[in-house]
Amino acid sequence: MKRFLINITYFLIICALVLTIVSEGVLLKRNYLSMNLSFSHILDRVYRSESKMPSDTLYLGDSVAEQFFSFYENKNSLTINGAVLLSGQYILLKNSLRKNPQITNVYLILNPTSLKQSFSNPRTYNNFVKPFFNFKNINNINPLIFKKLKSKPYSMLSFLSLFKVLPISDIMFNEDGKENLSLFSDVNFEYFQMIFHLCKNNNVSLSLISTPVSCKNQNLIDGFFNDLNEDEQQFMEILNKYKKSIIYLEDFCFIDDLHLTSETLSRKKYLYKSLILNFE
Amino acid sequence: MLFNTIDFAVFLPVVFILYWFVFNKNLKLQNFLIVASSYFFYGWWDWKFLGLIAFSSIIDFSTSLYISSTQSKKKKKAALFISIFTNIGILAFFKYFNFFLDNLNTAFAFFGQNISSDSLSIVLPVGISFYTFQTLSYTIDVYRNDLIPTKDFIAFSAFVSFFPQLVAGPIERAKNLLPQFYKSRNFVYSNAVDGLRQILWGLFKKVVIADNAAVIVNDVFGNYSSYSSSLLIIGAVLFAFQIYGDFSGYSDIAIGTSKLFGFTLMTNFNFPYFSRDIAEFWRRWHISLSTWFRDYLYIPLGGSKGGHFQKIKNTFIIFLVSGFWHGANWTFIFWGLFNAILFLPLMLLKSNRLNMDVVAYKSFFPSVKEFLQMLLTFFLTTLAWVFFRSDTIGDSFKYLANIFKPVKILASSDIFLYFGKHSKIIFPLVIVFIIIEWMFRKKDFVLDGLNLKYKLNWAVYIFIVFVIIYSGKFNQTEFIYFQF
Repeated sequence: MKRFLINITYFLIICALVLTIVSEGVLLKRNYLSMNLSFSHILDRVYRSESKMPSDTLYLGDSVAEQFFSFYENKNSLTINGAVLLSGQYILLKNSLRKNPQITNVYLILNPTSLKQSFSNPRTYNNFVKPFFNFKNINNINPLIFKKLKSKPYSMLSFLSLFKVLPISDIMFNEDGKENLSLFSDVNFEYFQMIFHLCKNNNVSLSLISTPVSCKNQNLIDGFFNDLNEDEQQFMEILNKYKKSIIYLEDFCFIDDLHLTSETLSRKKYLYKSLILNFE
Repeated sequence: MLFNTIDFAVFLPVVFILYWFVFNKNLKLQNFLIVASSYFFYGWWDWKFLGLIAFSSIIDFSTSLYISSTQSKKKKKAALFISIFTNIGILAFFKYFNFFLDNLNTAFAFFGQNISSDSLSIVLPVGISFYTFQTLSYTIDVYRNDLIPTKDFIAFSAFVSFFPQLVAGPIERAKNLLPQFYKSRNFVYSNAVDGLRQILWGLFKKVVIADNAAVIVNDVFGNYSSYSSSLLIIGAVLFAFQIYGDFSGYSDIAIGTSKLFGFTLMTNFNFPYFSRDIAEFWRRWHISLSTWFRDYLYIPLGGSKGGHFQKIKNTFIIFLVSGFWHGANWTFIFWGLFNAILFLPLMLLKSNRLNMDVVAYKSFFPSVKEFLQMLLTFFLTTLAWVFFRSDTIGDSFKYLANIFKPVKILASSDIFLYFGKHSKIIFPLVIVFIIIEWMFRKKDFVLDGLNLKYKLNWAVYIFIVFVIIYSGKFNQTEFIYFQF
């Protein structure tokens, strides 16, 4: 028995070491993660945010924004899936500003439903926790996120690179109690404030702009803005501009109530793009 | 609890340590720990159904004691009837009630009569077909005087609920497993290492082969009407590997886990896709179920003795019942029927026991004849799997009809286009998997007795762990056979 336990322990240690070296040195560093493409795509954004970008303007946003400001077509775009939450957007922004002091304009382009995305979204683990929860970013992870992670403690293992390459993509985090914020989820609101202050402290102009929204959701979206709570009302100016930036389109323009059809995009992409950018 | 989850990765070492370090002084305590941990293991899925296992255990424990204590043949028969009625009754209610009701409705509707009977929303308890068959075999063995009933209820409960094989087998015989609960167990290093090897290979089969194949299989079977014949063939072939990887992977993990606790379970799969005919396939596939039906149904019915009619009747009965055991759907019954049709000619020509040895035993490569035989057998079993996998009989026939339309040869790029990243990984993996299985076909399982120089064994294990971690799927996909 003693021999068995010793050998098992040795085996697990060697395994962990070898796999950590391979994960850290090859898989993550070179982004060889073809079995988990959504994670791989997010790492692409993370790596770009840590490198020089050729512009004074930065586009951040969700997957709908990605339809207008494609990451692969725009060297100054970090548009990404909405499940990274504003916490992920904050870290991308912070990295970018550190490496690119020339940036003076930041466009944060989000569908209103992305503001509402909560931590309990099943893709949060794959899209935010795995790529962003690491030693480098530990100071950017606030206590609220730690509290959420504690609802599934083993998710914290993804701090180690070995666990990041595991093809586990969905973990359902428990949310304690009801969402008490009307427009933003709790995590998103905390990080929205942090994004706001980060831009202010760096003398960067922040524009929060909406992607087009389906007509049938107009009442729902209006409801979000009618019920703004006290904390959110501190940001009335930027939120009012955000509300005005919403362009409502007919239902048939959308694939899934959120993303635009390729036909709509091929006809009107550049028009909407310029409307978004010249909104103010 | 599923074997391919973090929950089990925590559960197993905890039970292992308690078993060998805390409860090791007393056999009864060890057995009690097995019962408690098995109930915990099952209750992790749904504690409400624990009562069923306990009830089934109590019924079979008490009826068997009664059978052995009474001299009256009538009373023995009555007790056996109670046991069979209870076990089959539980199974019938939970698994087949809605099936019978729906078919009754359809039959009445066919004759223009509408009867109002709504299906009940019955949840099928996981593993019910496995543990009811296991307890049933115990009572039947006692009735036949093949086994002396135990008076140790804890040992009996441990036999019924033993967690490694509780929910998907192997369906153990009391004659093999129960006596192991009477004897004190000693930790044997080589057995434990063997167990870990088998667990490792089982996990590989499940999370790498089966679950990656499932992505494509689900897509193809879900949209078969819009796919070309080539893609349908790929879907059917991959399902053959999915179900093999899934179920034999589970069996490997179950057998390996049992070895860690000092138990030996029966072999459940013996490289079935290297069979040279259907009869050999059935001697190598789900062995614990095939032999169960052989011993408790086929032989009591008269087996292959008697005239041709008797043989044909018994063959059809056993395959149809086997199909029905798999699920309350006509697809399974048809799958059984199809296998009976494939098996029957071999039996009538008395060539069903031609291939009893391991293929190409004395050489590495098979002869051309053996190769073609294996290919044909694989083709036939894959055809049968189409019935097994389809949602309805109609879907199975449409799927097969689409397969036999003129074949359009696809370029590999087309396959990648259809199935994306998974096709890039699953096809090379399946080929490597076949080669490795072929290399170990004379052993009990892949990695059995692996003994390379300079600790290279460890390099092999680490590589497999790496492949499991990097290309396996861990999104809590259930084992296919759980539903049975």
